[in-house]
Amino acid sequence: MSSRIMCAASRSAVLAAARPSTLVRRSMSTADAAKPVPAIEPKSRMHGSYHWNFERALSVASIPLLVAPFIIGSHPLVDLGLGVVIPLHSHIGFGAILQDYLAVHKYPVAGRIAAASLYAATGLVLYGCYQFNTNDVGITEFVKRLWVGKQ
Amino acid sequence: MAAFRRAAVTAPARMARISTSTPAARAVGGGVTDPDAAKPTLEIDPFAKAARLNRPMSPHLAIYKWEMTMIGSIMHRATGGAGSAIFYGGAIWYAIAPFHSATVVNLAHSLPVPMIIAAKVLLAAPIVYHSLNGIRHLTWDTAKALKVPDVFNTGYVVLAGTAIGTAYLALQ
Repeated sequence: MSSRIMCAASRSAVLAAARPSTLVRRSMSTADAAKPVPAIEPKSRMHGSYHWNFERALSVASIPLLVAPFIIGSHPLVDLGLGVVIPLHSHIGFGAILQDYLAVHKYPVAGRIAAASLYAATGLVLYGCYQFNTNDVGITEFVKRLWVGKQ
Repeated sequence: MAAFRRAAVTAPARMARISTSTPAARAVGGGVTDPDAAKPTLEIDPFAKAARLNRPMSPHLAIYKWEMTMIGSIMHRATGGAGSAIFYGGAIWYAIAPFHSATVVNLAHSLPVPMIIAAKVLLAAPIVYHSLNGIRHLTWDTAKALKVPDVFNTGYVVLAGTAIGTAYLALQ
């Protein structure tokens, strides 16, 4: 609880420092002071912090997952990890592409449809990877056989 | 001499220049109606303003000379998107209509050898490039190798690594 209060306090301090013009305007007029400041900044100052770390964590995790099969061969845990990390990493990448080229503020309908479709597709991919890893040979063994042609 | 001439700009001309140097002054004095003129900067909707003034959306790529770093950057997105699209395609197919992996393996290796090698190059190059360039990105995320010469040098290392890695994988 106390950390939330501290977050809110430091957030308002940051915002106040970022808009000196607003401060000057407020000190001149009490009517303006009562006017709510439009929410331009995200609701939480931690927004853009955790998800950035999450993205990097996925990227860092993909390094051992992609290198391990070259050293230890196929392993169910590596397949399980790849079947989660690759879809989530791809989901974030596709999301960034949609935000750039099909932004919701510019394409309100198509942008929302695409964003929702991405969630559906990623869900199906996660399910498909799990099914493939549990019912078939697994991702790494499949890629190996596809590559070198051995059964 | 030039400095003297600059200093000799007449006072009224200088005042005219100053009076048109702020958005508010331009809006009042220049006959331009800018609804954002009196607003604090952070309260201006940049998208609405850009649309109203018919400004091109940033990044306005066409005005820049194409550098290796730019090509490498867009190729990171392109290779990631293409690789992910193939992965999504296969996984969604399996989720909806499960197939036997052996069927796919047999089909792939019924193709002529040159086609198999070409397919390996086409598959391996984007994955190797995206992986190596991804490590370059993670290095940048630790605030290292961000000077322009470093950005170019690491870019060349990634390209060389992609060539070697792709050749190695294609000949397996």
